[in-house]
Amino acid sequence: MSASKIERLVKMVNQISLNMSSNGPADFVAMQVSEHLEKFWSPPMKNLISEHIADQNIGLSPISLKAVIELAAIQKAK
Amino acid sequence: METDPYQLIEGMTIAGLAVGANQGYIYLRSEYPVAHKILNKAIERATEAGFLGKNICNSNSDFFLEVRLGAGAYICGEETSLLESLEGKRGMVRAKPPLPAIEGLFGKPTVVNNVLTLGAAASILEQGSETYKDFGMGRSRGTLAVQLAGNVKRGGVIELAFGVTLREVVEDFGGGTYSGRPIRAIQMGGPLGAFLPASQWDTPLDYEAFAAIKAMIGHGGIVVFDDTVDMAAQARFAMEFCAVESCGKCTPCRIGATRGVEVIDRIVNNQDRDNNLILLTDLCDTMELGSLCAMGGMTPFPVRSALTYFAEDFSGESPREN
Amino acid sequence: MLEFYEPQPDFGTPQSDSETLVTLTIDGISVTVPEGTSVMRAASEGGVKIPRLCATDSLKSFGSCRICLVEIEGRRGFPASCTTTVTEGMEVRTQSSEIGKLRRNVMELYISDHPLDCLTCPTNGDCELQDTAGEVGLRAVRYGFEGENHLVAEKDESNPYFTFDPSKCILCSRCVRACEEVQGTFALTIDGRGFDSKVSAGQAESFMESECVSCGACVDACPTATLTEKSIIELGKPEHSVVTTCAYCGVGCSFKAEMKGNEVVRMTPYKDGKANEGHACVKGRFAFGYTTHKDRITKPMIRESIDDPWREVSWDEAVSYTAERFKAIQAKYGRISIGAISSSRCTNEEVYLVQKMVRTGFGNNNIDTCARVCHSPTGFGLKTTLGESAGTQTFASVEKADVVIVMGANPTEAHPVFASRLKRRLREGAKLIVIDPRQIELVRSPHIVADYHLPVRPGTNVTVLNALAHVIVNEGLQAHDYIAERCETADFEKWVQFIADERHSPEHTEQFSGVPAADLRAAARLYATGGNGAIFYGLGVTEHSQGSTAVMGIANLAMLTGNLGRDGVGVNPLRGQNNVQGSCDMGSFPHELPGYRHVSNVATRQLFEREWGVTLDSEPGLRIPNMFDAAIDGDFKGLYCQGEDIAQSDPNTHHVEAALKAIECLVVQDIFLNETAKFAHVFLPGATFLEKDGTFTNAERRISRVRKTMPPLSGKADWEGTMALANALGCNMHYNHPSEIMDEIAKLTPTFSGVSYKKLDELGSIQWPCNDHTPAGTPIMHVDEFVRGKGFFAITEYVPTEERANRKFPLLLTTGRILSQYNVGAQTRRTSNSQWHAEDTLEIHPHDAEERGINHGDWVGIQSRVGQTVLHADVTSRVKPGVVYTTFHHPVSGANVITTDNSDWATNCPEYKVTAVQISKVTAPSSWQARQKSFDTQQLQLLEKARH
Repeated sequence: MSASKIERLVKMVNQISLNMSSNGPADFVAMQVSEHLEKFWSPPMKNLISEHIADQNIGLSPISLKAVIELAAIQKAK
Repeated sequence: METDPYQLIEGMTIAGLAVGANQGYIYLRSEYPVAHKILNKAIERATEAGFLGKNICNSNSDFFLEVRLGAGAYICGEETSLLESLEGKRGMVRAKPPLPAIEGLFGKPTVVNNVLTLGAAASILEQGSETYKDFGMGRSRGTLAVQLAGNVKRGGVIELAFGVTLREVVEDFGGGTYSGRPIRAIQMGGPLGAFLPASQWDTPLDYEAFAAIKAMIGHGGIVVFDDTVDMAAQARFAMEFCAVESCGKCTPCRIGATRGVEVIDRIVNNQDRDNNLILLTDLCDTMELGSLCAMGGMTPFPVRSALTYFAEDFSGESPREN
Repeated sequence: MLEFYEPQPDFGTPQSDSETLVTLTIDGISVTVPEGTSVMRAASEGGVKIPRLCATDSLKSFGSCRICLVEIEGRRGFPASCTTTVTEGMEVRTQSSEIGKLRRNVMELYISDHPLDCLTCPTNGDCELQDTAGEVGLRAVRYGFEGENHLVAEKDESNPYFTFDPSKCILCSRCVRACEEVQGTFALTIDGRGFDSKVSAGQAESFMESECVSCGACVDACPTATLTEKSIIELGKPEHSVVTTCAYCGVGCSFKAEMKGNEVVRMTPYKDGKANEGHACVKGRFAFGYTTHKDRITKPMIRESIDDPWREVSWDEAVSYTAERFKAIQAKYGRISIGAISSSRCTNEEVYLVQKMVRTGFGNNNIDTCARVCHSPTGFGLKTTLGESAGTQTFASVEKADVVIVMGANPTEAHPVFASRLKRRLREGAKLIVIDPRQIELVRSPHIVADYHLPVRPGTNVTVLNALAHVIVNEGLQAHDYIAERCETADFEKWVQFIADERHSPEHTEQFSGVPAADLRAAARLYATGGNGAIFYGLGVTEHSQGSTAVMGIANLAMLTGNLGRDGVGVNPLRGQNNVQGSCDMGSFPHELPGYRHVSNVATRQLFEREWGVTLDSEPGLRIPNMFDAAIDGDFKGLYCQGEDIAQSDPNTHHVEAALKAIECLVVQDIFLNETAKFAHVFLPGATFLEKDGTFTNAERRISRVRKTMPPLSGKADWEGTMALANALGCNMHYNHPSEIMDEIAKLTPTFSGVSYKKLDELGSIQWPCNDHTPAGTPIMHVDEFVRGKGFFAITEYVPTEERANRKFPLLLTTGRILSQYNVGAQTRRTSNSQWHAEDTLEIHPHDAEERGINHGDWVGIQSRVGQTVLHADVTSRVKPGVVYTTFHHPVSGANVITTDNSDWATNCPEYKVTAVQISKVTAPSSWQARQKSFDTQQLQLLEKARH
């Protein structure tokens, strides 16, 4: 019944993306989503989702995927 | 209101136009069901004919009229309790200031007048102010609808010009007492009016003349008593009336009126008479000077006049037949 | 401030707010007062007391006692000084032999109908009738006592907190007027007429049976012993008092704790308190008994496992044990495996210390507070649009409002003292728009009818807010100049394009929200054109999956109509708890340091690092929901939970309980053994607001003093407890008094830099920001410009919640509060307030009830996709068909067994307000309730073992 760690995170990112989706064009929204994640998510959460970029099956929406890729880049740079 | 309702309707419309009001209320005692029916019908007809409602007589002014019923409280004749009752609240007296003309019904500037005044307005405008002024004397101009009642042979309502003496009204128009016995006292002005002894019956019906003898014209009510009247009982009744009809807001009236009855009882039963007479006078002063409105404020009028002019009835000896 | 007990000064009639001044002479003394002031008040201000009985300065003058009569030059008779207003050059004489005689005679009448048992009367020495009889020099009652009187009258002792003794009533009507003018409940009237007049509650019922809400305003107003607190009757007159601040809701009323030694005799609302101005509610006024309830835990306790009995230990042992366990956990599971939850009921200083302990002692940012589950969307939404996470006005500001929107809030229940102010303004003619699924009391109550009630379907707030904005924009009603001057132009234009679209029209959104389009249009026009528009909102806005979006929508509306930056307007979040604003201000967030500065901000971090002497973590920590997830995942093993009952108040109880069971060291610091403590390993006894010094910050950003009235029962105030634990972890904190903590806060937080206990004592209270810019504090925010500079119009697209009614769960459950109980009820259930609300019930519409064969009072099962519970049914049309409602004050109700883990997209604030459920008639409590009951019993037994 209870979702796995990654399922929970995916759900949260998708929810954020959906709510920001009207803020502008897709790239702009993806940037806003990644900024939100960077600002509010704890490092383990950020690291976990970043590790799963390549996984096609976890269910990230297109904007969510873009955002997580940007997030992963930021994490790497740290 | 029963025989010529349009007189009142017209008068109220005149008042509305004069002060810029577009809503009028007739506060009618619940004891007048016939007047109620007739007034409502008259208002209906007047509205249909374009004399009430929007744009009356093509004047671009509106005036709406509504009858609202009281529920049997004497105090609702006092203008501020009347307003409270009209607003659907308990008929309690409001402190003044503010005057109703500034803050009245529902907080709006309000003109409050009795039926006689508003009814006269139409006549005055129609006949001219000089004609109206020609009636009366001194500063009391126009006519008064005297209500002659009590122990009187020919009672009823008599419209007279101010200036007639009390004696003329009671003896000439009224024909003296119904019982045939000599008149002993006449109460002028309603239940809160003073009792006048014979020495004062030649006073002309004039506001200032009556005020000068510590009496009042009021709404023109006259009650006649013959020589079997017990004036102490009448004084007691004045206090009792106040106690029954008091709204209860202010202490001099709420508690004073009840105490007034008790004190008079003690006087009449010869219990510590002298001190209680002093106490009664003190109480009258307190009620007159301290009450919130004329209910408590004027109850001392009949009581004091009885004490002054009919002191013998308070002596505790030889009680008279009622 | 400690003061001898004295009744608060009473000037006789209310203050006038006219700007014109008038000078007059009273007994030869020249006095200058605002126009509109009564002669009585002018005299008081000039130092002359005119005796009176029916006048009191919280109520309009009445003119009934006829004691305050004076002589005025040029006027005949003896006018009442309370109803006579001053005029320029007036000459007043307040004493003369005539006046003296009149006053004595009136007093004589009063006493002729009053018991003469002064010496044994509860208000002996504190009775205005007694005082006034003395002042006027009454010597005899010549009427005797054989006449008619009301001395034989039955007492009404139905209310648990005060007694009504009609034999002592002097018919001054202060109680009736207080219930009308101050409280707005209109529960009292005068029954009968003349001498038979008597004060009557409801329809000649007892106080308890009537509409009386037990606010105590009548008791405060009563000049005799007629309405007296039972505690006064029992204990007598207080001997000293301490001014402090209420610990219940976010109104933050000031009270005088009136004491005998260390015992509180009563709490009297403080007239100089700016939030409440002498008014209170049943909770703050009367429900303080919990502070000395037998359930109070006063000794620290520890145990190895939650199946073991508790062991009472010393503070030293408890904190050492905790520190050891936490260090061990960190060594094993990592630095971020422990965290803390701070309390929104503890003081600013205490909350500051908790986050400091986490950041310096735990070395991480795993600190969060209950604002997570209530107003975190306010934080996000207002910060994004206006630049600061706070309400923009004072409560008094509502007095200048012309149109008021109340959305997702029920102030008559949850912020009653504010609601009374609001009602007073509404009775004066201001218009009201209520946006709420239920017909809350404000929609229709004595002398108040909402101009529009928009009964929004739970979960669709954003559609309504968008539709309102759509109407205003499409009909050209926006405040063009204001927007051009004060808001970001490009973003505004982008937003106009967005909102003008047909999909946001009332006609289109009606299918989602259920709100009739015509009503919505009319309401929008009213808000935009009706004058000063003020919006008040609560958890019915924030506790949704689009809570942050809705808050931004509200801010958008206010900016759109120019309703920000002055008196009478604003965006006002009604904060639920006494210090939730404060706990947010103090940086109880995983991503923010005190003053709402992000932990990644280098300058901010350096400022704190310099002061605290450690390096700070620059990454956000765990929010409460994340802590639970991490606990279940096995990554989060230690939790210090102060003054917060997450097991009862957080959603999805099964999930929370599983998380708590997974924690290896759970430390609870609280005043009672609450639901969370039943899963704890360390219990640190907490201190109530009466037992400590500190400050609370209310919904107005008003910082007020909390002052100690008695020594803490546990021996330590909460800040001392936290300090002990912090030091056991190696923190090195040495505060001798909370004022020192506030000094540190002021040093590090620009919005607080001017705050100090000295200034608080001088000014009474301070609204932040308080700094060199605004040394006396800031009543109204965003006056010249917004905190972020120009206002930002956020795009607020409607995203339906996942929690939708379907065939299996066809009804939507929403939740709320009730007046007599407070949140999880830990405090109020331990007072006589339970006489009003002994259980939570389920409100269900007659149609829905009938369909299911449910009658009023039946047991009903409420089932959601996560759990099930059982309550008694309350069949009522306060809710629409399709919506059911309950409160959450009793643990056994299990309201949160049913709520899901849906949450706000931006802040994870739980979506308490929308749960899809099915209701059915049942015969017994749910299995969860049976389990809860047995667990409860077991834990209480384990506690008993410790105490013997």
